[in-house]
Amino acid sequence: MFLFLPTLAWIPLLPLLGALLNLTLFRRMPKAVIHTVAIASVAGSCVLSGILVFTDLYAAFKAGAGGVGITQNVYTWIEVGNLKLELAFRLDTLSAVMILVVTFCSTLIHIYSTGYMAHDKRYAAYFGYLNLFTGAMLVLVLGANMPVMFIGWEGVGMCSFLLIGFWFEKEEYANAAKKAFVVNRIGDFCFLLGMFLLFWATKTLDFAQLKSAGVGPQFVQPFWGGERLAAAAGIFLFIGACGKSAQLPLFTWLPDAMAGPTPVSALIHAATMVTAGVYMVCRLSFLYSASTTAMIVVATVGMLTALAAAFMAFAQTDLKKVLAYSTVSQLGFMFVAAGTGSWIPAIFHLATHAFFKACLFLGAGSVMHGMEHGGSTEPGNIMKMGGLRKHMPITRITFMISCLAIAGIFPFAGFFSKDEILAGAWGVTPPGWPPMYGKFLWGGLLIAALGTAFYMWRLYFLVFGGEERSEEAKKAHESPPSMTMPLVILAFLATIAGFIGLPHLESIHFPKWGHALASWLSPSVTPTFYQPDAAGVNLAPPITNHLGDGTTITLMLIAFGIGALGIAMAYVLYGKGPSKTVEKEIEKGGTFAEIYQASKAKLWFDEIYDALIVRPFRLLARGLFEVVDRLIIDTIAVNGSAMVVGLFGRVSRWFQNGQVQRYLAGLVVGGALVFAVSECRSNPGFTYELVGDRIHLMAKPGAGIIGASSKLRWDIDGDGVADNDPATNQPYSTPELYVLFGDTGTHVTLFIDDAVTRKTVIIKRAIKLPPAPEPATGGPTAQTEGK
Amino acid sequence: MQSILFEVGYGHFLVLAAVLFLIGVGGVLVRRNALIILMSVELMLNAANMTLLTFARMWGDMSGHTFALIVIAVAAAEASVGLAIVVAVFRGRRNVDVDRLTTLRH
Repeated sequence: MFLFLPTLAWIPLLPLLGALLNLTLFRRMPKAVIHTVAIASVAGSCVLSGILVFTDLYAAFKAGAGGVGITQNVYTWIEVGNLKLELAFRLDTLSAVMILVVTFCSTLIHIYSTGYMAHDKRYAAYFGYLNLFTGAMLVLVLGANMPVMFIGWEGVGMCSFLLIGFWFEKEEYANAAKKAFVVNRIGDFCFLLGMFLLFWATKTLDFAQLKSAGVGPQFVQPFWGGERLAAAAGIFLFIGACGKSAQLPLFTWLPDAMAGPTPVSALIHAATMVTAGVYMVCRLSFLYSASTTAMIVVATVGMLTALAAAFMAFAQTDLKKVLAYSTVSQLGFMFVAAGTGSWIPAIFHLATHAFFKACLFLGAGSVMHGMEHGGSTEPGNIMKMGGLRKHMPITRITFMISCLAIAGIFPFAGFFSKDEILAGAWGVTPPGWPPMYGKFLWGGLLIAALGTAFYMWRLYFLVFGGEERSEEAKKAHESPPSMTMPLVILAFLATIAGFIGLPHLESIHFPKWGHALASWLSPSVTPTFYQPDAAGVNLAPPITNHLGDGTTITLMLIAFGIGALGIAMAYVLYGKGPSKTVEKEIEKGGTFAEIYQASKAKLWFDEIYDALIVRPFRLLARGLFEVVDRLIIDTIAVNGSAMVVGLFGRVSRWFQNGQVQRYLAGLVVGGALVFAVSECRSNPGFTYELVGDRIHLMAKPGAGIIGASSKLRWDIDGDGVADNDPATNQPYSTPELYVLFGDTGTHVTLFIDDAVTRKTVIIKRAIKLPPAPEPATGGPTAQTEGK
Repeated sequence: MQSILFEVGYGHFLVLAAVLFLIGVGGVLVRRNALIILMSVELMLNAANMTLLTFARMWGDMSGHTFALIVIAVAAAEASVGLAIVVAVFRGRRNVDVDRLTTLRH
């Protein structure tokens, strides 16, 4: 049955099936079986992705139709009103880059994990989660509409939570997982809002339909004080991206997420999941290009994050924390690119960053693995390392290559991608952009790049340079091939990946094939900003980065120089172990010491959030707990109703005690009540109605004994004396009587003789007869008969 | 008021019956000795007899007398069975306090 699914569905399905097996049936299987299943499912997905991208998609790309891509529906997921959602996957050039990066990195990290996690008790769970993550990430990337993307978006968030808290026995780690989850939830909520807003405005959530020209004008309709709708939707979605991609102000979870196993940090919290936000912004490039406000927000947040995170990385002493801040900072670079309309450089940097950052994290894992085998209890502390180049040569070389790449040194991958972003910030000007704002962003990024080079090489020198600073470091040894092999492959990619995006020098037409990635990606991202005139025709010029060759080369040289300068600074200060200069300055106090402390304390972000949000929130929660939970629910609702029931129970227990006499007492009281009520309601009297030429008298002698034991007498003619029935010559005594009109006087009296009390109740009523129609004939006859 | 005081009528009989009945009820409810309770039940039965007779006279219908005779016969039977039970209980337990006869209580 599954075989009939469309081929695209198999890409995420394979890892998901692997997860299903490892999380259920294979839990107690030997480790070899578990990791074979896990790796095979991901590698299968990788191979399938490769085949689909390089055959079908490449053919479509060569054919060159607009909107190159393959869409395959699995089934109709939701159909309500005018909302029709397919569970559909779409492979276009943008998602192709992503699935290749994701499946490839994932495969390598699965292999690496077999070595790193070899001694873990929950081996099957680990690989199950990792597979689940890969599947969810692929759903996110391949989703053809926003809800399908959101499934993946939430799925990767859940896997992130599960894997950060993988060693949940340590409370600190479990807390880190919770923090990641909660912070992401804030973002996800805004993502949902943005999604709803888009649906409200355009009535569709399918990417292809959203992108189509008919929907475009919807984005520029005014919303919220004159801003375009695209601004509101874009900013909401971007807050979602801030949560997932760890941008200001929602980045605080990512450094804490380093509690998870290191391969997880490499895969989820560096290479793939955290780039989902960047991917989403690029996927929705047509939306962002319609609002300069949204782009300014994206670019500014990106730049501030890049700077702040680079600053916080200076003084960290934990190996993985430095890398975590570095990731936050690099994601900031990508968002600046996305915010300036350089979608292609954003994805370019995303891909190269995935390679060198995964390599750095796996290298860090390898170092920590070695330190642990050397007996270290805090394997991440870089102050206890040093001199590891002697013990871990492969790790050292690969780590160095990646450090060169991230610092932006020619010809490593990071140089080209970072340079593209810087050039984009310098050269691209969205319509309505504040003057010189691009240059300002460029300046900020340049400082962040200097910081990047510095802290990465500080890290390198502290770990591998100088002499061993602890016994454990002396005993450290190289990791097994299952761990070093992925390192070598990733380092190789970190070296050459930049060549898919060489800058094009116009004057000499070099290189001839130009920016391969740019032409590959261009069908998937929007080529222009959206500035429609009254008729809806887009007036904005295409997004181009027409920098002259001179500017291009100058910018490249500046970027290269900045990277080299950072490395040189790091070498001067940390080349031979921890910096004596820095330590002296800190002891002396003053401005430098304060800056150092600020970096070490991560600019007090956690403390500020604690004071501004967490504590008021806790106070509110406690208040709610005391008032709503304790008082209203516990005391009033629960205990109160129990008390009422108990009260009834206690009262009825007094009756229902098994003694016949108690029941009898109830019987007596009840009987007396019935009796009293019936006596009270005995209200003697009579009524009458006219039937034909007679009057129908009905006595109501009252209920109870008085009624039952009474004798009745009637006075019909109104003389005050009871009359006899002329037919029998006995007194009238029945409760009902029919009397001719002529026999009655103006009043009728009923005498009720009570036999018990010997009292007589007398009820006298006036009788109202209809005006006699023929008194001449009927009247006298009746009268004579009556006498 | 005067008529009630000086002319003996049906009301007087009914009131007497009611008083007797209430005394019987009170005895059944309040006393704990099975023997006394049986006696009180006899009182109530006789009060009922008296109302039966009163109403029979009031309506001039003598079937009420028949009922009263049947009630007397049944009451005699009930009294003998009741006394037998009380005696049997007393033999077994040396006491006939109904509050302490709780063996059948669940």
